[in-house]
Amino acid sequence: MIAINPIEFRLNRITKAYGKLQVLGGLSFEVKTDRIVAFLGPSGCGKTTLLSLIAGLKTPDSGEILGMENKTLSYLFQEPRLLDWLTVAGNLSFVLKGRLSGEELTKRIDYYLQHMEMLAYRNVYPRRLSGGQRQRVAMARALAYPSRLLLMDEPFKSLDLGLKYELINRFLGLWASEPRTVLLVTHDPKEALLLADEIYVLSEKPAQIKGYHQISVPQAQRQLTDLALLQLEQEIIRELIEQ
Amino acid sequence: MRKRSLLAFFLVGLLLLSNTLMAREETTVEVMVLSGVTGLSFLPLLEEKPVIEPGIKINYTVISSPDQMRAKIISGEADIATVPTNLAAILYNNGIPVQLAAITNWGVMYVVEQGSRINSWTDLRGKTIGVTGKGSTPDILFRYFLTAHGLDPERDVQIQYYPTPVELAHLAIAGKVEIATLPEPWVTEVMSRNPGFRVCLDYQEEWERLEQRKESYAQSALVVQTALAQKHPDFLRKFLQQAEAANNWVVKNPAAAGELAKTHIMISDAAASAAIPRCNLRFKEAATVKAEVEYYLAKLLSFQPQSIGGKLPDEGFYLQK
Amino acid sequence: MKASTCKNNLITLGSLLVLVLGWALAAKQAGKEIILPSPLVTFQHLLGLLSSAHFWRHLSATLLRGLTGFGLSFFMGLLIGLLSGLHPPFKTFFQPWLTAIRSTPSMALILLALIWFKSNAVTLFVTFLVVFPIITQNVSEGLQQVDPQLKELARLYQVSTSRVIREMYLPAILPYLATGAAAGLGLTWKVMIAAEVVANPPLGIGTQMDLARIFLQTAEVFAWTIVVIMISLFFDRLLTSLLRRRLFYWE
Repeated sequence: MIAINPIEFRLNRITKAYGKLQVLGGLSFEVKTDRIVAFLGPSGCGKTTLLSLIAGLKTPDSGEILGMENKTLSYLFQEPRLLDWLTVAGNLSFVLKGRLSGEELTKRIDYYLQHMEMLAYRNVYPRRLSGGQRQRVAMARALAYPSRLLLMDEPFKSLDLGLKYELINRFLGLWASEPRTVLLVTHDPKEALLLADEIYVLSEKPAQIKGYHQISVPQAQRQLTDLALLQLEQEIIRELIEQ
Repeated sequence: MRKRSLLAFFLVGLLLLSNTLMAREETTVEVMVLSGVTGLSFLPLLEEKPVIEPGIKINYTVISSPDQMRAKIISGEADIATVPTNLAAILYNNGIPVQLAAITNWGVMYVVEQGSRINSWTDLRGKTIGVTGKGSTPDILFRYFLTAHGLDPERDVQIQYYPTPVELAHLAIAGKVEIATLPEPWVTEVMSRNPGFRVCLDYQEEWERLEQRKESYAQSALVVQTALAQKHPDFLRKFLQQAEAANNWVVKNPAAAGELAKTHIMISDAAASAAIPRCNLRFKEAATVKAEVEYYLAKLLSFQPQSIGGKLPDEGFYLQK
Repeated sequence: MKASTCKNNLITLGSLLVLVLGWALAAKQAGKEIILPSPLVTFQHLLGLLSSAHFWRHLSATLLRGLTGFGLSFFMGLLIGLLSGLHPPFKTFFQPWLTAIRSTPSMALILLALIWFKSNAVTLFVTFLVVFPIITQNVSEGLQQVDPQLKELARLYQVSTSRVIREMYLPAILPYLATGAAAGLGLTWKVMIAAEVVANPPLGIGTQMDLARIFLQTAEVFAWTIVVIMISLFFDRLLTSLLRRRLFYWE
């Protein structure tokens, strides 16, 4: 059953260029609350720029972004971006201390670490962790942070397959218990298929929307071997290749 | 005709030969004096540079800093030099081959003040005083006198040291220093160029009062490298005579000496002429004033042993006639 | 591990022994104590110094001034360095001043300060000026090295500026600060003594060194020199041990 969600934010004819290079060539779409929306496209097509604009790190050359005022957001990067001199728990409290304190802070940290199965490492320094473990901590941090939106920029890119799917499952578990609007940028169709409610396929620079797909099956029930998903994957790959 | 040119040729050759022979024999003696009183007493020699003995060339240099002088003596650059007497003792006691040839002048130290608040040594309590010649006579005697009056030089007064009297004098003239210890002729120089200054304390008076001696303290000395004394004793004897004569001439002709002072030691002629009577210029060969020198050195030894090198110099220190 | 440090210690000992022997030979060659005193005589003078009351007064005066000067440099350097790192316009503003100070020879600073200040202030002033640019430079560089990705992270997660400074910048610049502090501290003693020799404050090691020189007590000058070397080593070790424990604990 698809709930009718209110609109989280909307983009109207967003363009962005770096010097002579036109990166975004007029994008318009809207994102509904608590939906996971994926942006698929070839590497370097401007997906990261799109996220930067939404996050407010950069301003568009033309067009407007509506509904993003005063919204708190979490960000999950391709690299873990942990502070080496803080413990795992310390890294989480670094971002959380501004919003929570005392017992509430500790409880929230422990809760998210547990769900990422990193609670045992709460007092360990990042240098001692593997790449996958560090990304788990980063995800715990992003989710623990009480935000309306979560922006993820190719967060699974550097993980091997086994770790990737493990992390995707953990993510979905936490997201289900505390839903929020999620934007996922990726080049891997499988990630989009497992995670997203809506998928936008973007073209090469200047990026424009080439395809749009909705998946009505709840994430928990999806399998990569499902026929419907496999067919969708074919379609998406075709869209991606035809540039 | 040929005979004559041959003779001429021969004579010229003889002349050249004798010249080169003489040139090979010519020695250079470096005489270095400090600017200030000792320079004053040598003015006629600085001006005329008389030949004292044929074959010996004399170079005169005026040095402004006792530190520099010390270095030149140790390195052997200076054959004859004027130094504070206590420094002569330090050098001798530390194995530098020099001997005391004469005392060129006796006490010439004063304390000058811009104003009229200091009337006795005890009035110096809590004040800042500019002192020149750290570790030499003016400094040591100053601290000795302070102690004699119950003041601790390290705690009861603020002593600011300056390397040479030249700087301290200029700062006093500029009004940047209020109380200073200075030797003549700098005292007169300062007072003539900055009328705000007056002499408030007199080292010589204090010495006489404390030590009950007729002769003042032996402030400046003329030393010679032992090597020179051994190789050219005749020259040295004559030189000392000339030095004594020069000394006497300056005392008798202050005006003319003043003119020379302007050229050679950069003190204004008026100040020099006026100061000369107060400069205690009395040239005395070492052997004749040994007792006085020993008394002075013994006094310093009792107050600060390092100031004369830790012990009284032995007989060899005093150049025999 | 034990064997190699034992070996290293032996080599160090041997090296020092060669140094002392060479010194003794040279002293014998020189002949006079006022040119080059032998190690034995120097050592005797050193013992004499250590047992005299006024030694400790002069030592504490120099130590106090040195540490004060260094302390001032440290905090000002940290402050200006932080400002420069966080706001590039500040950095541009301070750059010519720092360059000018750094390029000026210490002796020139001492001589100028002598004209402006009293002896005690001269030593503090010069020490401060010489050490402060080093600290500033190090802090500034450390800040530049902070990962821009982390800076972006802090911005996105809206971490307060004071916490960014305290929890992100300060730990990040700690290694640079430590290097700067070590260099600065070593320089402090050198400059302080030089300034004391010229400015002659009533109490101070440099003053005593100068006095010994004037009285041609070269052995005493050597003895004081050894004292200063010991001070420098002591504080260097202290700094290292303090920082080693706190530095890189996360590795």
